[in-house]
Amino acid sequence: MSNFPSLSPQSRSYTPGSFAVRRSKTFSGEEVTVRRTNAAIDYKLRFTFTSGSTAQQNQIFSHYAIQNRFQPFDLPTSVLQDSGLTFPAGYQWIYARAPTVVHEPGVIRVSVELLLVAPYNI
Amino acid sequence: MSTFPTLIPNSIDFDFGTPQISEYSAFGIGPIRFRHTDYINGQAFSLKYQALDQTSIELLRTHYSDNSGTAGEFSVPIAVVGGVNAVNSASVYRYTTTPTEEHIGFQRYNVTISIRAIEGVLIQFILVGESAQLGSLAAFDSYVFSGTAPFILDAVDADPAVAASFILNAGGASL
Repeated sequence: MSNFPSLSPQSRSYTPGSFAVRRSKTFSGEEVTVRRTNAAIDYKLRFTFTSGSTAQQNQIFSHYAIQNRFQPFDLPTSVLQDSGLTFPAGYQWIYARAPTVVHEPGVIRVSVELLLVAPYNI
Repeated sequence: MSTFPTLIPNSIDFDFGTPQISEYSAFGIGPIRFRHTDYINGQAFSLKYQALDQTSIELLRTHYSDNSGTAGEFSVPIAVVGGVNAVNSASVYRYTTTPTEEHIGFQRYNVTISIRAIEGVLIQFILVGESAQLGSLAAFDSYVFSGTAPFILDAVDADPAVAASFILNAGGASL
């Protein structure tokens, strides 16, 4: 297992986990929800890394080539710097999808979306 | 039931909800509508926060987490929804979706919170097992199958030489 590269993102967004819920509605409009688990799932993080060279792009693509959508990994503190975010113990990240890259004159933007998953053995 | 943090959003969108009406139509007659209740439900609010500081975003994160995400109900201070008096006083709120934060700078956050008002039903089922007690131990007879497999438990056409009863006592069983 290799950690995500120690890069500093230029933008970041975060979606906390959600709980499995079943909703029941009635004609009168009343609604009951039943929560089926104590564990939240689907924590998501999205990063954009902007650079003038292909060095960051290469680091991320190399990491993705090894981990792909299969191998979970940990995040270095640099990508979560000053966010105050905490996650359930033992959970790790996987790529939600392949990183995408946009080349503009002199600027390279790499977008990464990660998904937090419960511990599992490979 | 918790209370949403008293954080005044930068902008608010909302609608007036939907009355509980169903419609029936058939050949030869126009639509007939049934109003099931006077209660208007589902007022949806979109609260947009811009450049929240760390303390404020932690309040929102903690409330979402402690509220079990979209599962739990909560109340919202009237100041948060701009003093809008569009919901029934008995309504409660739920998160419509999981909010997504945008991290726009050093400990500065944009976030949009989607909530809706409903006529909540606060029901709580609690399974309590601690007070159960084992009965006293009692001697019992055990019988084992003997013979040649397979063993068939034939309940329909069985013709035992000696009438026997088999009682499976579950509800109110006691040793």
